[in-house]
Amino acid sequence: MKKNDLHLQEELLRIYRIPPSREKTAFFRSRRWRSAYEKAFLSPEAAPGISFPEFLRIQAGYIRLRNWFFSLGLFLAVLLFSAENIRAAGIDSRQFLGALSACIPYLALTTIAEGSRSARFGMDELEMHTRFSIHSVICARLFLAGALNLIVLTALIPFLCTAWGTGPAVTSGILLAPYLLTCTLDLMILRRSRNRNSITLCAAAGTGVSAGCLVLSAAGPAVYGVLSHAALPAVFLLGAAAALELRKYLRQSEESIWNYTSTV
Amino acid sequence: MDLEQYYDDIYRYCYLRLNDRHAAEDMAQETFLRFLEASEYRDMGKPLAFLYTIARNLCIDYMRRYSNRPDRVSYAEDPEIFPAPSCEGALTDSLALAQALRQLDDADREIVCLRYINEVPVSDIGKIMNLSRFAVRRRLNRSLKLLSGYIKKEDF
Amino acid sequence: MELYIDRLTKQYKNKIAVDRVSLRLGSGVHGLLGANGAGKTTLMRMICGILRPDSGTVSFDGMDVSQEDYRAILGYLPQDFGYYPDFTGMDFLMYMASLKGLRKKDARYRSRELLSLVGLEGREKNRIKTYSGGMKQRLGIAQALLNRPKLLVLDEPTAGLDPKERVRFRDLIDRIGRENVVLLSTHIVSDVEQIADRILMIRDGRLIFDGSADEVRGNLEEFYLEQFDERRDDIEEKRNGEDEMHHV
Repeated sequence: MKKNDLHLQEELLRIYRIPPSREKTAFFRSRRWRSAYEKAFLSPEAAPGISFPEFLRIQAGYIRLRNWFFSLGLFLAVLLFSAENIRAAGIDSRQFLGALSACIPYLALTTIAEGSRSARFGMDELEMHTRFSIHSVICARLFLAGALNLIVLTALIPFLCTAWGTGPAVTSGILLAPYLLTCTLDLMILRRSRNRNSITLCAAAGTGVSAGCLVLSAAGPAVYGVLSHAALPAVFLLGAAAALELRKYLRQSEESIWNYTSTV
Repeated sequence: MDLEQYYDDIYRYCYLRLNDRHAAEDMAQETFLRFLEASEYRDMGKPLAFLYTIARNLCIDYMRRYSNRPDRVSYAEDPEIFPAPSCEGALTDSLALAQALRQLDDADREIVCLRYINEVPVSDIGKIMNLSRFAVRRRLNRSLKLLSGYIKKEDF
Repeated sequence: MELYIDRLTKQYKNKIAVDRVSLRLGSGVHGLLGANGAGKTTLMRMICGILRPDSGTVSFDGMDVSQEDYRAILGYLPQDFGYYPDFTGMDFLMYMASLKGLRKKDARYRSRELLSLVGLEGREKNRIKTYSGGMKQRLGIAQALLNRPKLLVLDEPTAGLDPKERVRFRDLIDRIGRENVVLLSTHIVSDVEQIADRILMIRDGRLIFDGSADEVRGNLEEFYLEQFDERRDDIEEKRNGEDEMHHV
């Protein structure tokens, strides 16, 4: 307040002579206040809390940025390399697609890494007893991190078909098979190893799949012919395998099967 | 939400209206309890104006109910009176201000007290008294001019 | 207000971890005493709905442990817990609050309230990585209280706390226990002696004592050690028996 205003304030206080309050602290400590406050602010009926969509939104905030960057980066890279002038420079479609498929396992790895953070950092026991329990957390993370990846991949299929002239079956196979295979392998690994280093094993598996992709892409035409026929069935089989592994992983997270050693 | 910080202001306001410490404390506490009951509070940013509104209504109701006491006869006719300070026992310099305040109407007096004793922002005063910000500003300026007429120029 | 446990059992490959434990706990502080490996943590995990029992039931005021309503009134501090790297104390509480379904505004207010309650105010912006063991433990206690639980389960809550923190903790638990059910486990007798209204002793998965601290003849610590001396006698007896056999 300005100086004149302060002066007026002083004067007013002096002439009105307001006695200080005496009951403030007692009131705010009283049961009357406390129970009304609790009822108003924190009981489930009064504060219904967040809904599941809200929960998803909050979880999305905890997904590390690098995942989004990687997915989008890959997407943009593909677009870039498929541009007319670059293609004209003479990159073989098989080489390009082979290289692309070799990157896909790492995309899967980022998804799995996000979904498995709870166990790897020892937060799982805490997350198991809450209202949105660990099941929800993992599902949310896998869904959020994985959804974008799958969208990117599926969007790329028609694009690549037209740009590079490969059939839809083969293209799907190139993109989805490594992704699903890596997911399956990683989930299998994580079911057995729940510590911080398990992610290294997953990365190794991903690299293995990646290497496999590179080898296949360099294979002769006969192999290529077999591959194109096997592509779609492979995608379906691997999809089923991944789904099964995911279910097993979720089930194991819900009911913690603790090693009976020292923590009984 | 830390509501405790507003207690002193609300209590002071109630005292200004009721001139009775005990009643003022009761009304202040009732204000806070009623505040919790209102479901709109949850998404409110600052609850201040709302607290004052509740306090104001409670004080007016109180005056209506307890107006059969001899010293409050006048309030029965108009429970919305905002009391002027009593002039008895006031020191001479303050006497001038006290007399000046008597010249204001109730609304103006209330506005002056809210603004200068409790430092309530003008926009909130508008919400509390159901007046536009401009009306509040206008009345405030008019009141200050009137008050300055009664008080030594140097102090202003 | 009552936690009702009926013949709860959990068996691992070759050992029974919890053996037909039945309990009724009303409001107050209940201390679960037992050596490491006696079954305390397994029992608590089942009470928190984290571990599925082989048989038996757990319910609170009619709600079965598997229901979401049960979890809504539950607060749990595990014996050991981790944290996401780079989380600050405040991040941690806000994250747990979101899992407990609290809205952001409520969560923030409640987190600040709890941080000051456990004596971590001013440290909430520091990374948990930099916390001492006692600070981390206090953070864990704070998280357990976020949703104002009616049932508070604490597994070895005083581990890592220095004497001053222990006293503060006892006062806190005492206050909470007046209107809620608190179950805390420990293998430190002195912790439980002073604040528990009721003492439960568990050995080899079985409840061997259930009563108030006063009911214990003489010193609680002696009584406790007595239980384990019995066990030592058993082992010695067994060993003597084996020796005899060798002689023959």
